[in-house]
Amino acid sequence: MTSVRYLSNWIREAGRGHVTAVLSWGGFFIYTAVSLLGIRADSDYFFGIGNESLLNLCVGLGILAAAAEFWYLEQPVKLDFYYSLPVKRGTVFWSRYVHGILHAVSALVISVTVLGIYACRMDGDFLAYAGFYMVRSILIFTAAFLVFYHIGIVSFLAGGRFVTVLLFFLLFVFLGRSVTRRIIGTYAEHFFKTFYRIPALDCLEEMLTPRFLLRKLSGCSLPDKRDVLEYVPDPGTVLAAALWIIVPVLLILFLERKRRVENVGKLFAFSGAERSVLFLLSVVPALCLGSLFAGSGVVFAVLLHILIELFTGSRGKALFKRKWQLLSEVLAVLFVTGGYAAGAGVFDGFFPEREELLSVRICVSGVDMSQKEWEENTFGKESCAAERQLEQYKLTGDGMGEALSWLEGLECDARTEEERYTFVTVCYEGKDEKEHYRVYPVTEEEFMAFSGVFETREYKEKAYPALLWEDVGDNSFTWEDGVRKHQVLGLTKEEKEAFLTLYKEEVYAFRMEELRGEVPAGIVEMRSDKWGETQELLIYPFFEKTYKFLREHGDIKEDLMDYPVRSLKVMDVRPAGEGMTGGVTMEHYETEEELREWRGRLVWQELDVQPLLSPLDFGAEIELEAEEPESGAAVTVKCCEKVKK
Amino acid sequence: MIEIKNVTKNFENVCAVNQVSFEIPEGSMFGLLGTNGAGKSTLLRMMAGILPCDAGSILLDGEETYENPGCKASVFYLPDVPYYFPNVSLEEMVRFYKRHYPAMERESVSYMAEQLNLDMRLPLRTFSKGMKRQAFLILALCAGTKYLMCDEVFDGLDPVMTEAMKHLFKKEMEEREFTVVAAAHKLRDLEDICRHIGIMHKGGILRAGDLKGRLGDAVKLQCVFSGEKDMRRELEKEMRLLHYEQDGYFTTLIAAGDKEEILKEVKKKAPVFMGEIPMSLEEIFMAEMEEAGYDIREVLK
Repeated sequence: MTSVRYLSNWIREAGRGHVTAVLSWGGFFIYTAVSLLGIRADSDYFFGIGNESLLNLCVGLGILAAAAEFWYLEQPVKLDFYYSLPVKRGTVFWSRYVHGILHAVSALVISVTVLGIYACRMDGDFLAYAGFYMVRSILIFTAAFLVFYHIGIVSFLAGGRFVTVLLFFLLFVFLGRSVTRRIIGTYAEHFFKTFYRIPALDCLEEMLTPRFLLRKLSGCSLPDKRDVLEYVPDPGTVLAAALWIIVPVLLILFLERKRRVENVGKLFAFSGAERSVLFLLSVVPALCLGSLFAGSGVVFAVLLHILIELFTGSRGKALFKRKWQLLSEVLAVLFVTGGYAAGAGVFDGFFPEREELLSVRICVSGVDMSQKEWEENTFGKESCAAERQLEQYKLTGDGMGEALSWLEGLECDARTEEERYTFVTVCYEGKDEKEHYRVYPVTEEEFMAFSGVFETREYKEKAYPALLWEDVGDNSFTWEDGVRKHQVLGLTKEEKEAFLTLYKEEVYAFRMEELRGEVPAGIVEMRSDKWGETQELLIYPFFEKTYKFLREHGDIKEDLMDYPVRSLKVMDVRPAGEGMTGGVTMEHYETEEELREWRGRLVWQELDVQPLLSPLDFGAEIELEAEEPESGAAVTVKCCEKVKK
Repeated sequence: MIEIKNVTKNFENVCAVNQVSFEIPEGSMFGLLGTNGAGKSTLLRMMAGILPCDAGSILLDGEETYENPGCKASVFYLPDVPYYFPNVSLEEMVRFYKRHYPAMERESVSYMAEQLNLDMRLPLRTFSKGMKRQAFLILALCAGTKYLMCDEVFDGLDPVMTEAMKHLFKKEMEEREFTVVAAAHKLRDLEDICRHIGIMHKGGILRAGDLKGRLGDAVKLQCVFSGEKDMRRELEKEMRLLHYEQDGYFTTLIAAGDKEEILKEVKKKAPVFMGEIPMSLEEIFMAEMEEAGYDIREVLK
């Protein structure tokens, strides 16, 4: 009973500073006011789950409340004052702990409740979800507050001065990301020749970085209103968030009892904390730097150890007073580096059995992508084009069999940089739902062997999805070639069906080799009003039947220069020759004679789809001004030049 | 009673308090003296229950103080730099302390503050150093605790105010069982109010006990012997000579033992002049310490 009285007295006492109260109630008052306006103006406004501002508020409040409540732990005079009073140290500490939570959480609950009631009045759809959404929002954002509140408290307990409190806080918040991204990821990239990505690493980074974890937990990346309203975080994320609360609480319980008043004013309140920080600050940056300068991790570990010892006050003979710690740091660096070197063979030699696989996703760099995408797609690095293709080219049938045979035949080990013609990024998706990503270098000869995969029915259907379309009689068909855009092809239902049949026949039949040096003449856009979907059909001149059909049913030009061309502007930015300055030349061609010279050389930039097989010259910026035949309007077409054979 | 038994406190590699043992009787003022870093503030903080002992124990009426709110309720600790909440007045500090020390007398604080011209409604931060000291000494006296642990007790007070405070302390000690442990640099600050004194040096206690009582065992004489003769050796044969100093014709000596016997022995040496002069606590203490083999002037300089 006495302790209850003491605790309640001290909770009131903790309120003396009013900082937490002002921050909590002030912060949520502003948030509520802004959100009321938001709900009024936008029916898709989320005041709870899905609202990043609320997450930022809770995270910020967690940090500030921890600082306001537990700053006294770093103030020797204040500590002497509190601890001289007839009260247990724990009572002072836990009363402040409760006080911080009390204000922040009650302000959050009231804010969410007020906003929920208002949203129910403004949005009838929300009514069905209101209770569930509000309860989940309160729980999730309370968790967000608690994660950072506890991290802050542990930092204040472990540190003896503000600088070390800040250091601990930063370590808690950023160490997970540094370890996963800068060490595990970078070392994998450095040691494993076929490394592209380890999905578990992304997950680990998310779980170990509180900000990322809370962003996922609070559904901030959900795009759709229904997704937000029905959102329930996955158990893994909930468990990780719970651990980010429970583990610091256990640390707090331990540290609060063991913290000695006399250690306040030193850099670290615990020798264990000092050793841990010294270890991490030596090993983690040493490994990070070691990955940049191969093999030098041990040297960096020793140098960093000495630097930190000097900084923390150990001088002269005391410089190497922690010999065992230095040894453990060196061993840790050697262990990590050696582990990666030893594991490289296993990682690079990984090749699954077909029976174990659900699918193979494949992206050959330079195939079915633009020149720009090809240039951006570098070996072993993630890129948008590669990700898009890995999503698109998911092979499960005959294509997967051919792809595995082709991949098995790649001789990755004996490949030099010069021998590499292109590379292939692969994702082996196992029946156990595990994904293994690899990237392999490919020679020109091996690339030509890729035709075996390319020419499978499954691969073609992934590359040309129009092959899977049926009953297109009601769809609209338009033609695009740069000058003409969305020109409606006047086809009957039967003609549309007949056109697609011809197209399918020729697409299934053509060989990869036929693409070499060929550029599409234009694009037929097929749009289904019924399903709201659009599909683009690339029309190559070697699709003889298809192309002939189109020319019979529309005014299809063979070349851009067949249109009435007004002018051609060519800006060449190639470097000038030796002894010359400048290097930018601008040419205008307007006469019939000049323009005739460009016939057969220009390609509309949108038709740049096979940079490996049909490279185009983007060295000059070319703009063609032509007359659109139907309207007579002037159209500017951005072009590139065909590479001369 | 405060019992300090074999108390040791280490701060990493530094031994701040080393195997200290002594007792402080009730109802008196105990002066804890020592140079900077002698360990007196650390010992005081341990007595107030702020720091735990690494070894040994400190008992207040038979109870350990550390993490013992019941026992700490009888102790008021006043550090050399007292803490107060930002913007609070003396009035608010009384209210705060009243919650922890129910015997705190608001009226007494008010009366004393009025006597010392301290405005209880003004924020403490606006007070001068001496005024703050006065305010906290008032709080300490009026907290109604049995024990007061006070670091640099009269530091910052002018001589008049120091005397006034000493008077208040004496009055308080006379009226109730009030025990004060005061740490200070200078023996002179405490000699007229402290009956018991302990001297600390490098973490250890050199001497502790009732020094006023010891005064009865020593006598200080000023003599002139014929021919500027050095009488040290001769006197040492006859009495326990604590201090001997010759300056020209004048010889000052302090001797321990029966006063009549000492006077008789000195008269036998036929001094031209002999006169007894009063002896300060500091002198007797220094003499005691020198006898014990410590150069106390070094300790207390």
